[in-house]
Amino acid sequence: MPEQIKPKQSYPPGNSRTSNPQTNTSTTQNIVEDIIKTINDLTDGLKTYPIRNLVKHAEEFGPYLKQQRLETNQVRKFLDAVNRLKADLAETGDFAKIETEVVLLKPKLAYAAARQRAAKPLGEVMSAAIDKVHSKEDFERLVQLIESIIAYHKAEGGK
Amino acid sequence: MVTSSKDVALQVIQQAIAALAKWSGFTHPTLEKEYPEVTRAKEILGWKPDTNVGTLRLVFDSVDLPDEPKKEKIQQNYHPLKVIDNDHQEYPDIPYPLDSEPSSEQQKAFQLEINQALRNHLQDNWVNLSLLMLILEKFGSCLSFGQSDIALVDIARTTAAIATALLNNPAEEISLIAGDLSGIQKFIYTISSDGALKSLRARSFYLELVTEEVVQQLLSRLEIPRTNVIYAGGGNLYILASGTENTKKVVQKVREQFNTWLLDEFQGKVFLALDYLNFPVTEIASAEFANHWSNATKNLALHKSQKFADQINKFIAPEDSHEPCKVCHRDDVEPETLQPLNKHEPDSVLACEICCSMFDLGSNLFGVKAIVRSTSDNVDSQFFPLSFKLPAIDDFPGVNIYYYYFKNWKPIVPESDTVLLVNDWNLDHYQFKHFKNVSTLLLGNYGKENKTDENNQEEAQGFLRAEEMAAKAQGINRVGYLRMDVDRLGQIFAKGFGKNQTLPKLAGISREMSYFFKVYLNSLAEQRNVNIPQKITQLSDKNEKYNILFIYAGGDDLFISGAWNEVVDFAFDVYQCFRAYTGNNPDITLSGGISINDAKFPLYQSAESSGDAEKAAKNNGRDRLGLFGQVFKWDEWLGTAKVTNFDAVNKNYNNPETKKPSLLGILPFVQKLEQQNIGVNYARNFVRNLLITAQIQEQALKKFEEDNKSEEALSTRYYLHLPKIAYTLARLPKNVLDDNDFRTSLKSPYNAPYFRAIATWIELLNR
Ligand SMILES: [Zn+2]
Repeated sequence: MPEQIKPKQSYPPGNSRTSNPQTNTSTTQNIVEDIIKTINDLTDGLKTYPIRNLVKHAEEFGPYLKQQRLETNQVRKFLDAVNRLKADLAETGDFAKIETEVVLLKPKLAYAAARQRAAKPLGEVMSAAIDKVHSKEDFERLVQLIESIIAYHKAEGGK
Repeated sequence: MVTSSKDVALQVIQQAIAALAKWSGFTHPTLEKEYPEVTRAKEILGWKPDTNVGTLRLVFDSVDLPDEPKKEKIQQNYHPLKVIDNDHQEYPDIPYPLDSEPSSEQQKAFQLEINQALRNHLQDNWVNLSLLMLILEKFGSCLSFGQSDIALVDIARTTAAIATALLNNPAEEISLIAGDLSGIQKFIYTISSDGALKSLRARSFYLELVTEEVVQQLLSRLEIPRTNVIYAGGGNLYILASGTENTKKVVQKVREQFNTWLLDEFQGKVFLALDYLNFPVTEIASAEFANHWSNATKNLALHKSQKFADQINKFIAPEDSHEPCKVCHRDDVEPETLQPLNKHEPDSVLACEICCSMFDLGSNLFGVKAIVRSTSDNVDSQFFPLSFKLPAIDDFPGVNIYYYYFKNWKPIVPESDTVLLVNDWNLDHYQFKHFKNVSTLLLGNYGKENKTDENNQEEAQGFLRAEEMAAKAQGINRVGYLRMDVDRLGQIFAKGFGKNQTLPKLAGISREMSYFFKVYLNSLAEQRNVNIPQKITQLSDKNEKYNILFIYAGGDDLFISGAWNEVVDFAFDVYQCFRAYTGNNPDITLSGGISINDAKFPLYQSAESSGDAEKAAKNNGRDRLGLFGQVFKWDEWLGTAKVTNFDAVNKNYNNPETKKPSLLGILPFVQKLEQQNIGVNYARNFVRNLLITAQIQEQALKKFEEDNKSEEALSTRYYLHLPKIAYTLARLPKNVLDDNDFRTSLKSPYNAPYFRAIATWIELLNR
């Protein structure tokens, strides 16, 4: 299956809250842009990402990833890391203790994306989301986003 | 010669029969010259010389509780022209209302039927009040007289009651006697588990007889006929009498007699509140009557709070305590009077006399056809009688009463005082040649028999025991307990008819309720197919007798046990049948609760947990069922909801979900999965995943307990776990996934609240 050549995107690292309007994209990739734009527009952290929108986005994005031939083992390290952080947070309830680790999720995705193009859209979406995580509630919403995307991806037959 | 109240009542009933005869073209015997009291009573209730019998509109249609404005206009319903009859079967069929007036052909056919019955039975029975009353009830329950929603039988009965109350009563003050036997819950539900189901049933029956005996005492002391009883059953009674000094005294003494006896017999667990309220007779047909009715009921509550005020010395007197009865735990009886509970079992526990007789009665209650009330302790009966020993109070002599029960309708009892025929509508049985004083006892009495154990012939054939119920259940071997009652019945009686809240209407509606809970429930359990309305959501379409046992059914409530899945099925049947029976009036609903327990689980705890489930249903806004630890509206369980909570939420979104899923609610998914036969492993996985999803959902919702209407809370409830559902669905076999309705419906936010209920139900059915 031919893959779309995507324009190079450059997101400033760190906690930038500036939005990056996308131009010149193909229709199949609209969902990626939609999500990223929505996330970037959140002015008060990821926790304000409305659940209904989150789920609707994931419902489209999961199958898109499947179509891009993403397999979950390609992002296994990333998912494992998220789960560990989730467990740590559940144990301590202290977001400050995992804050640095959350930021370090981004390189894990970048690494996966560098090796497999199929991991790239997920990496882009997650990067934008991670940039909006500043509190326990933000992180919880991040987990909800990841879990929703992966569930819809698996429902499509993704492994 | 002095006019007796019986003469007066008989005359009214004869006149009502004459009206029925006129309508059916039968020449009735001549009527006596009218007593002045009868003339006056008829005048008060608007019974005029030209008043005629006609078709009857459904009395439930007139119920309108003012606090909730009606969204839709209630459709006007009519009673079908259908005689109440056993028809060679045990219970009469349920008459569902018609949406249009019976045609003139149907009326002619019914007239012919009445004509025939009068011809066959009237000749030697013109002064047989029992038989005439039964004729009115059989035929006059579906015919109106005067007002289009007042039944002939009710106008006849209330006119008779007023006429007798006017006898020797120039002041025209009338007395509404109200009674309430409280503590029933304690008496019934606190017993331990030895032979509990059986005993429990017997206990609730026994309390019916106590109510009956209170009525009998009042009637005989006041010298008034049975027509004066407006309502009696389930521990409640309402009787009309003259508002005289004598009534006051009788009420006081009867109350004292019973409470002295109850205190002695039940250690204060059961208490009779009995009081009267006087008012001018003319108010009986006015809106004022509703207030009197309410006040009479309120006064009873006051009495209950001063329990045993008359017997206070005895109540607080110290008593020796002994080895307690193993069933009811009373410790005031001499140890040597304790006996083995089950005489056919070598190691049976020791129990007090009452508990032993309740256990025996429990075995024999099935198929009881006649109950004979007698003051003789020496009636030839196969079964040990139930006795009431009322002590003398002042100038009121003490009296011992025995109730003998028989499994045929025609016991030969020369000393019989009163005969009660159980759910018996056969006119032949009420003729003079058989009994002098007979009346019908309505009794919620259904119980599936167990198979007679060949090795244990001594034990009479009886009801299913809890273990047998559990064994008959589909899936997990558990017993279900269902409690259910009518929502806001008190309000319906106090103000449901607005300005038309008159005695005949109240008599009519309580009669209709009693028919349903005491009689038609039996019919439904016994013969499902002929007793369900046409449009009903069926859980199972089988027509076998339900594997359930009525522990109590009467008034407006029920307590039933059985194979758990059948108890669930039955609950939905009862709800839908009741709604159809009451013309789908939105103000007349039921709430219920079901608990599902191990057969060995103590009965009183099962009763408590089903009671809690019912309470939860009521507290969530009525018209609901509590099941599997959750509460939903009946139509959400059934999948028939037209409006759901999500509709309001959905409207607020910019891009609402475009349409409702084709499957909506709990039952449609359960049925689909049951039909699919998807295999044990698939089913297990699906259920497990669904439960996990529900758990995640509930966890996520926990933090919104304070504010569960916030945007965030609502979207958590309806959307958050949808991805997980999509994944869960994807793991089902292909043939299930090909079912587009099933797949898309389960993924709809509309069905989001139902996952746990769906999963639990399927899980229990396949365990
Ligand atoms: Zn006992």
